[in-house]
Amino acid sequence: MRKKVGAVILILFFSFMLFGASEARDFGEPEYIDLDEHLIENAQEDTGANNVVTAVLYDYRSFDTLGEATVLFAAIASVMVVLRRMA
Amino acid sequence: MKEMSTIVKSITSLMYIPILVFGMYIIIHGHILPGGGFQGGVIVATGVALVFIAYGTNKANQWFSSKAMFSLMSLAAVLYFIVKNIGGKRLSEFLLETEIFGPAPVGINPGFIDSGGVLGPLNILVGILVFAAVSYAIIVLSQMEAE
Repeated sequence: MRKKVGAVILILFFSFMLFGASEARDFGEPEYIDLDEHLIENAQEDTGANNVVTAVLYDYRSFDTLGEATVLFAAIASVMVVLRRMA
Repeated sequence: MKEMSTIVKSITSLMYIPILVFGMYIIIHGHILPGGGFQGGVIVATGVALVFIAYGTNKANQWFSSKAMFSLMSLAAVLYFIVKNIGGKRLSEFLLETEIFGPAPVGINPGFIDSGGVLGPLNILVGILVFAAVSYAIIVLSQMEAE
């Protein structure tokens, strides 16, 4: 009984995911491309970096990177609290 | 973690310097090539993990201490905060006008590291942070396993 219910739920969920995937836009063709084109054209002059990913990561969205560093710091602090030596 | 056989230790003593150099290469070329601080820092930390696996916890703890790693991580985080928040746009513009951190040539960059303004120092700081954080986790986990 439980296995049958699980199989039905799995099939329904999988068909729902397939339906959603078939309705999605094609890969590499987003709906709004203004920001992408602005970044690709102006990133080098704005930041002086050739790597547009780095320009976005460390210049346009730098506070986001600061948050990532904070998340890493918090994770390591929790590791320190849990796994420290009971000296 | 116990130390492994002589073969593994010999290969490790050959390999860990190239691993560290490759990670640092990824870090300092972050504004030119794909990669950057996060990826390069993790690659450098894999070298530390290799040393810990091959030589065992007791011997490797003499070379890498967890306290130093935590201090390094805190220092890098604070420096990143200072450079980005307090320096910010003014520091970036100032660095872009200097000789060392001048703007990149428009178009194809044949590999000039001395460009990109504040991005290079930020990449190095994030690389140090990620390296120290992952190394700290490796060191503490190996110590837990040993007890």
